[in-house]
Amino acid sequence: MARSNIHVGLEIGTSKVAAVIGETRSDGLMRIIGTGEAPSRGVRKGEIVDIGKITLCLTDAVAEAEEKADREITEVVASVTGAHLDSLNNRGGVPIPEDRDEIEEEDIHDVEQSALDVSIPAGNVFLHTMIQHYYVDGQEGVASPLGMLGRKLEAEFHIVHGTKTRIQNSLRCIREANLKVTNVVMSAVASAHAVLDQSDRERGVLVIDIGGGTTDFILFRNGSVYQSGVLAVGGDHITNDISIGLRVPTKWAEKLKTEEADVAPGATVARGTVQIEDPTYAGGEIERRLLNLVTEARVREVFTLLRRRLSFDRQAQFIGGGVLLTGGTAELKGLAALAADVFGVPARTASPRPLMGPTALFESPRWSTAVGLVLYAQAAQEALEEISVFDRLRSKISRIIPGL
Amino acid sequence: MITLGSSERLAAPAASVSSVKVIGLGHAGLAVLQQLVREDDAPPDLVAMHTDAKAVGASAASRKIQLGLQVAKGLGAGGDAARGRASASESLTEIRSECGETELVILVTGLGGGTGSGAASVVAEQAKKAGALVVAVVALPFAAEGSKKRELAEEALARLARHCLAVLCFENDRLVEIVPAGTAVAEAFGASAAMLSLAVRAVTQMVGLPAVLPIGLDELQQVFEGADARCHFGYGVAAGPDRMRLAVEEALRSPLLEQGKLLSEPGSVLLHLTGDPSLSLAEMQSALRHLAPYLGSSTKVHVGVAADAAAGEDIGVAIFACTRSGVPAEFPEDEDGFTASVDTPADIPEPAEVAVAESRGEPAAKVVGKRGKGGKKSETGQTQEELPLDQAMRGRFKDLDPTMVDGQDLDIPAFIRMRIRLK
Repeated sequence: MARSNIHVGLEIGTSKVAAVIGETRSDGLMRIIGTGEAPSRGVRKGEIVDIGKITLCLTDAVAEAEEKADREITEVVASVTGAHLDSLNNRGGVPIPEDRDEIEEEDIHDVEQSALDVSIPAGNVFLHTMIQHYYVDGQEGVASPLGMLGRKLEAEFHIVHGTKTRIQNSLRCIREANLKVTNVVMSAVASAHAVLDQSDRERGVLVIDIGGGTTDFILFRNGSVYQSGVLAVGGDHITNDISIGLRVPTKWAEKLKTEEADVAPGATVARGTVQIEDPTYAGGEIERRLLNLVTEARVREVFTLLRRRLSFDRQAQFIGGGVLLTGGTAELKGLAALAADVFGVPARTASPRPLMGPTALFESPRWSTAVGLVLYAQAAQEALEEISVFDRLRSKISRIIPGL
Repeated sequence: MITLGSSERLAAPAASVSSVKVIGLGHAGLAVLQQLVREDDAPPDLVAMHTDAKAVGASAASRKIQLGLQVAKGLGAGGDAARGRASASESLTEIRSECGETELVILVTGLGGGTGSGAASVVAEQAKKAGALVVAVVALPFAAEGSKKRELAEEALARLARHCLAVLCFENDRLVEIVPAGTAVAEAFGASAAMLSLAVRAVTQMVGLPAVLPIGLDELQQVFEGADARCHFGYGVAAGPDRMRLAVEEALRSPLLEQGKLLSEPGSVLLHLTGDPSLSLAEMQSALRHLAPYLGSSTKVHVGVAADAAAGEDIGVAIFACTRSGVPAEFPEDEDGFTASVDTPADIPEPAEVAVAESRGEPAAKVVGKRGKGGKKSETGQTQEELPLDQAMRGRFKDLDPTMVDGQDLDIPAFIRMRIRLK
């Protein structure tokens, strides 16, 4: 298999389309060589509603990245989001064939398949199957069962699934732009790849990626994914709340949100006003206290819903790494303080972890998903190379045992 | 608009549906089956499904399936929906074979516990896969049972609805309204089971009895299709010279129909009458006449009549109301929150448009007008007003599917739902 050393991540978000081109150097390290972005049109709450409009946006974003990287691209790894994505944990098990004692690659493959024998809504497809733990003959905490002796292999997986047609819709526009999609990744999984390193995962961490239309979350415990999902509420909801609550046009609500609003606990008693200067709008002064009140109510609600949905209180003790906030809306003032207040664990805003390349291009929480896609693609390729070894092995075996 | 079945259908008494199966799932489901068995004209095919071996054993149902022999080990799901779900997954083959060659499966269960919440969607999915239409009849937990249960139930309901033609949803709290205040716990749950079994019988009679004016499965599908999957139900029975009026009134008094208020919302209403073969056309018309004042102008009414020789003097009236608002029934209850914030959304710079789905079959068709001008005047004006108001408060999300979580539309500004005063 030809090893491609260029990976392209393409995030079609509710507020922006982001394209990131990364190059794997000969020493295996990743270097970001180009980024491009364009405002999204035709996306609501993370799902594409107008393929024609969004195709133009993504063509712009890709063209910008191509120009910066001085490369032409044909293939991308794409992220998907939307409230249709759901997840569950399931355990699979297979007996080890009578004629041997040692656990082989094949058994590890089979145990994954057996875990997928689970009921998901009709019309849904599996998106990710992520290993949590293996059990050999019921013994817990096996990290890598390959080569171990045993009679029975079991494993627990975190499984992500979503509505097939909705996933297809979000990929169709990429094909319309004459690009090939090589891999599809849940946005939260991609963002986690960008902001976390192995030690964060081991300590346990909750990553919350707040975008324009959705809030994507993923929780790691003991190094593996334990819960994940999407809440169809994002920065656009904050803008809408401000617009309705303070009676200002959307354009101004957006500006007030990004430049002035503060959601830190205590900011709701802030003094002073913000002056709106717009000749086309006879607005006037906005009280900071009211702005913060409206904004905080929305964000606190989102955090509280997540806390309940994750049963976070019961697992806070396993979340040594605290809460990491990323995504475009993570730049909201006071967000980490509010998260710490709601979840009761330390919280901070996270950008993609340091990579090589002109960091100014991607050093912001808004780039996490797109950069994460590139890192995910790199990791997937490494895994794929391992699998191809297994496939060769499998074909060798199947010559001996027909029908395998 | 009132539509009757075509005259052709009136002439030819259709063959009754060949196979209806009632599946009782979990503790509440089995309780309903017990209730049904006691009736003289119980539906023939009753299937008991539970993770609890003892309860399955004690059931009087003709068919019994113990779910999750390995997972639950015969001990019940212990309130753990994941275990209920896993148990059902383990018993997929049994469930599927049970549902084979059945045209209509009525799934009865209580949501909020382990087996019901976890297994219901799996059972419904399998029944649907086996080719049956699925109507679920579910009870939602009493508020006093805690918010955890409530959340669990809501989530399970959402999952379940995806596989069902319709979900008849019973709020146990509303049932309390029909039992006196001092009622014992056992009796309260008993009342809940009784109400559920009434609904099950109404559905089976509708498709099962020899019909004078039949409601076929196709029509049933039409009534429920496109509704927000939650359906409201009322039932009344009466005898004597004025029996029709009394029965309709009793059905309308059902707390689940909110005293008939819900009938005025856009959607369809199915009126089904069961009586002895002498039931006259005039009586049918009188039923419609009594119902008419409660209906909204865009509500479509389907009528079915079944003849039951065993009914004697009694006339049974079942009313199913399927709203198409996308706003769950319990939402408009939140009256304070709405009235307190009335002026706020009305003054948004970009004038808020209100939308009311005009007629069934065209959920996308909208009547657009400013709030206050186009409000329909009728004695049910209250519900008519609240719906457009919702739409206005959703601002830029007004044309999108709402984001429903725990019965709340998250597209409506958080500060409005939390009743935070901005001054």
